[in-house]
Amino acid sequence: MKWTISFLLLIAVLGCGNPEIHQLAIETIENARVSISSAENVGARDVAVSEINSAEEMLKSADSSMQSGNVELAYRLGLRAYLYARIATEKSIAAEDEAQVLEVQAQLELDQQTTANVLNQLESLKKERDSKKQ
Amino acid sequence: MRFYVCLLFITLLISSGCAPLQIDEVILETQLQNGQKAISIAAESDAEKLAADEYSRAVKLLKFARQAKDQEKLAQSMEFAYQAELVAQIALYRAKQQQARSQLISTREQIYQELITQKDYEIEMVQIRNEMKAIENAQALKEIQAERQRAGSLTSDLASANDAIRNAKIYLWIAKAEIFITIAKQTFPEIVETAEYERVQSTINQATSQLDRKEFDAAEKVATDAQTQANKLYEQAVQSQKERAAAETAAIIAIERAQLKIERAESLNAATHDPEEFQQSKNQLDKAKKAMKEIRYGEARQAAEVVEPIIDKVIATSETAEYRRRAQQELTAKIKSAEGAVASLKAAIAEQTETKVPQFAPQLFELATSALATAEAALAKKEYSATIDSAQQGSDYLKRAINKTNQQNTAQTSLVEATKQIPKAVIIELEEGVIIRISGNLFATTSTRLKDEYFPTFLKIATILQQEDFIDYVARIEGHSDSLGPAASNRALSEKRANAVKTFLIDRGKVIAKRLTAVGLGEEKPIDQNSEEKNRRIDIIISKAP
Repeated sequence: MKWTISFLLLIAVLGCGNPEIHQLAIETIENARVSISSAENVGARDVAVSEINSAEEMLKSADSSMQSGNVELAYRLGLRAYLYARIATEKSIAAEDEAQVLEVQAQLELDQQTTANVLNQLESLKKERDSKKQ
Repeated sequence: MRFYVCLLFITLLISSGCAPLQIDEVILETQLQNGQKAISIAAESDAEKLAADEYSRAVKLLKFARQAKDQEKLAQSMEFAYQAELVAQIALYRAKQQQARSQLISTREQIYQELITQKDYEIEMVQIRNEMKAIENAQALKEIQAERQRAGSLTSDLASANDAIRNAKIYLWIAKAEIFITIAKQTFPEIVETAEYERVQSTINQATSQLDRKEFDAAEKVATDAQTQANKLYEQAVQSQKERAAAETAAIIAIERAQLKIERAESLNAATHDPEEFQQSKNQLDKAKKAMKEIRYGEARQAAEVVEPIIDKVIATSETAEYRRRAQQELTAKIKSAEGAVASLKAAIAEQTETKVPQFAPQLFELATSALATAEAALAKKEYSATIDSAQQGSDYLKRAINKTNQQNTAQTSLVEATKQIPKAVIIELEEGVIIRISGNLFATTSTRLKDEYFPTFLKIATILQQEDFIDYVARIEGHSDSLGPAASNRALSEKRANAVKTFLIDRGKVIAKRLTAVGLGEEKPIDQNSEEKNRRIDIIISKAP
């Protein structure tokens, strides 16, 4: 996918004409839309609210610019929408990872406590054994 | 990486080929600083290592932004700076993800380590438990060995105990047999002279010897035989004792019977009436008693039984003679008694003849006199019981007459004494009763109203009549007048005055009317020819009710 986009961009650069910019803008806006959807799927609505909102606003503005024929502006806004959506995605994933860390740490504390209990039992058992030996 | 580079070139071309935007330098500089700041924050989170692609891209974008600024391509610079900031943020979060994942891995490793430690501990605990179990098993084994040793010694002890028990059992049988023998001896001492006794003793001795030699089987059999023989011996002793006791009882009864009959004969003076037979009986009884003492019960009983027919004959003879003697005695006594009774009654009647008895109790006195005559007639006919009965009857009549006279005398005395207390009255004593005479002006002239001053007189009379001692006495109220005036008028007036007194005694004195009678006698019975005042009077005659 990425290589396809690069190829298209390269053609657009080689041609250096307005029709290429137009196509590039469309592709970028589409990428931004997909990225926003991905961000939502990883829970950005809960943990990266401002980022996803910014992405959506940028996308909206890009669409608007595209419709008004300002292709260059549409491209730039679409690119920003894409980047904001990426930030939202990465932030959400990071938050989920950190939550997992907290969960595992809690589990670790429980296990440490269990270990301490088992150790106590072991000590008692040792005392009992020693007394029986005597 | 190559994607972002391509994107960068495209952006550069667009920026260079398109119409430039109007960008303020201050805003651009601010954006550049924001880009730099975002990169720095990402660097603090170690994004250079953990998110190298994003971080290097952000750095390059910021570098392009500065170059564009230097070339005074402000819009291009602004675009790059802005993208640099956003990409730096991506790098930051990518770095944070890496950090979190590293931490996650590290923590999980720790958890695993903890679990391993727990398992180690648990394994150690299992080992310790096994060790303890081994210790317990060892102890149990020791105990089992000790028990086995004990069981071994118990087995030998058990054999000894069995012998001891068997010994004790046989000894018990022998002891029982000896006890039976002892009881048999106590019950019937002569049993020791029997062959059975000797045989039992021999069997017991044999069993004892065998037991001493620990010949348990033989000893057991012989001891059983000894017990059976001893039991039979005991039963024999009991039977013998019963028979002897029966013989003793029969002898005692026979002797007692003979003794009682001899005592009976003695009470009938048999020594006088039939001395030879009586003495023979006594001798025979002595013989029986002697045999009894010498425990010859059969002989004693026979001797006692011989006494019975002899003594029965003696008793019969003595009873007849004694009856005759006693009948004669009784007749003599009865004659004496009859004569005494007649004489006694006669004397008693004679004694009372001069007293008030014939006067106060004439009927009873007459009955007593009549009974005396009857008794004398019966005595003449030698009917002594009738004589005694009649004399007794006469004596009873006489006693009753005397009692009645005494009672009347006592009542008369009390009556006289009581009436003497009556004011304004003269008491004239009669044989039976009294006359209470109240003379003078008891009433106003020609009046029938009793004067108040005489009220106490008649109230006292009423009180006497109400006394318990005189409750069976009656009063006759006689009105008397002087001789002044016509006799008929005087009689009528005297009657009215007598009735006025009666009414007073009833109303004021509460005397029952039927005890009172009132009559008017007028001038018929004067008591003083010289005193009309004395003749005007009320006489109340109190006497016993007929």
